[in-house]
Parts: sequence; structure tokens; C-alpha cells
Amino acid sequence: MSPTTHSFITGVIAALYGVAGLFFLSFWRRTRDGLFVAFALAFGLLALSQTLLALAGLEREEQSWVYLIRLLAFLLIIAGIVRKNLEGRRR
Amino acid sequence: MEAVKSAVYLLCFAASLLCMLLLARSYLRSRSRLLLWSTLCFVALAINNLLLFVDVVVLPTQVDLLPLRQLSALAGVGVLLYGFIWDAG
Amino acid sequence: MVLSDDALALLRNSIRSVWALELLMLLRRHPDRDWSNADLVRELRGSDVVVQEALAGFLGAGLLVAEADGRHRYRPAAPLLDQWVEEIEQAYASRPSAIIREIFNAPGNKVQIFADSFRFRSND
Repeated sequence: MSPTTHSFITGVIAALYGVAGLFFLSFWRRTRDGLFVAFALAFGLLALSQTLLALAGLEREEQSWVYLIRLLAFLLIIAGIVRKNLEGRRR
Repeated sequence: MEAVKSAVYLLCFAASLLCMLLLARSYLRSRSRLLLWSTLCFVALAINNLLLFVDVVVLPTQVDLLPLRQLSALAGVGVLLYGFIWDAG
Repeated sequence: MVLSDDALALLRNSIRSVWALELLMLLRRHPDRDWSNADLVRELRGSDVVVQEALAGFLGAGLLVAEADGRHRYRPAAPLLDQWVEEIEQAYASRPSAIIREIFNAPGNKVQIFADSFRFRSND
């Protein structure tokens, strides 16, 4: 894969993650369920990490600190799920 | 440092696997098409995280899984958006 | 659809599940009674979470009032609301499958099912 192709695809993935994040935000507006905020932020972060990779011309996120953004995104999803379950039990 | 990276990738893999299983369970119960697409999205994201782990930690020099990693990310988020557009309205 | 647009809007926006619909009809049958959550859980053989969520939704829609001791009673904020609930109730009696389908297909509901998938212990 040429570097240009690679950057292009990385950019496409970034844009799609971003759009998915916006969808989650609209679901939050519809239902006011906090889980969607977690998903919206997580997909926003995934979009950010791919954007940084494409702009920096990096092929591999593992060669920089960018993989920590992926970690944060998935931690947010886990936190959202935990919160969802605690919420149900408390009420 | 390598140990931290393996832990991070495995955690991301576990998180996407958990999402996949919960969504699949819910799909089997409700048969909602939106959940089918979401489940497939997290199947792809789980594969994506697993490939990342294999590529970086298990077989760092033997194979280059980068094209497959990109393909799985693209497929995952693509199928999710397809579901959002056609079945969430 | 057998419902008027207004009643349909109420159904789509405020009645998220068949549990919630059953609960609303139970409360409406006994407009003079204050119900504790435990009463409702027992009567519907539902779970606490389901009852809580349905009550919160109906309070927001102005269909119930909450008493000081945490009990609830059916008292629509406007007579029109009661008319729409009655319309839904009649439609549910004559064509239950149409009403249930309408509940499942409500726009907010599909997305809510997604969010509720992430509860380990489901209550539906």
C-alpha cells in the first residue's frame, strides 16, 4: 500500500468514526441516556487518533503515543457500561 | 513499555468483545436490525483490536497486518453507519 | 393506524414499552388510589427498574402526580391527555398487535434498545 493510499484510508476511517460519534450524540439528545455520551466521546476520540496519524504521516499508531487515545476511547465505553449498570441497580 | 502496550490492546479487545456479546444477546432477543448492524460493527472492531495485538505483540516482525487492520476498522464503522442511517430512524 | 395523530404522538413519545402501557392502564383504572412502587412491581409482576422508568416518563408527560411519600396516582395535567390515553387504551383492547408494533417501532425506542443492551441484567 502506498503512503498516499494509506493516509487516504486513515482519513476516511477518521471521518466515519466522527460521523458515528455525531449519531451517538443525536441518540443522546433523543433519549437522554448517558451511555450515548460515552459512545459519542469514544468515537470522537477514535476519529481524533486516526486524524493525528494521517496528519503526522504515521503508518502505525503503536510507534507513537497515539495508541493511548484508543485506550482512552475504550475506557470511556467501559465506564459508560459500568455506569449504566450501577444506575439500574440504584434506582 | 511493551507490556503496557499488550495490556492496552488486550483491554481494547476485551471491551469490544463485551460490547459485541451484549449487543448480540440483545439482538437475539429483540431482532432489531439496528442491533444486528451494531453487533457486526463490534465484531469488526474486536477483530481490529485483535489484529493490532497480533501485529505488534505476537508476531511483530513476521507479518504485516496493517492492510487488514485498516480493512476491519473501515468495515466496522461502515456497517455501523449503514445501520444508523437505515434502521435507527 | 387506528389512533389520531395526537394519541399516536403520545404513544410514541411517552410509552416506551408494553410494561409502561400496562402500568398506565392499571393506574387509570384506579384514579383514586395512590400506588407505591412496590405495589406496582407486585401487580405487574415487573421489575423495579421497569416501573421506575415508566413512572418517570409518565410524570414528565404530565399524566401522573407524585405524592409526598413517593406514591403515584393517575391525574393528567389536561383533560385532553386523558382523552388520548383512553384512545390508546381502546385501540390496545381492539388491536393489541398494532399498538405493540407501534411501540416497538417508535424512533426513540430502537435507540433505547441499543442502550439497554448494555445492562447485564435485563429487565424486559
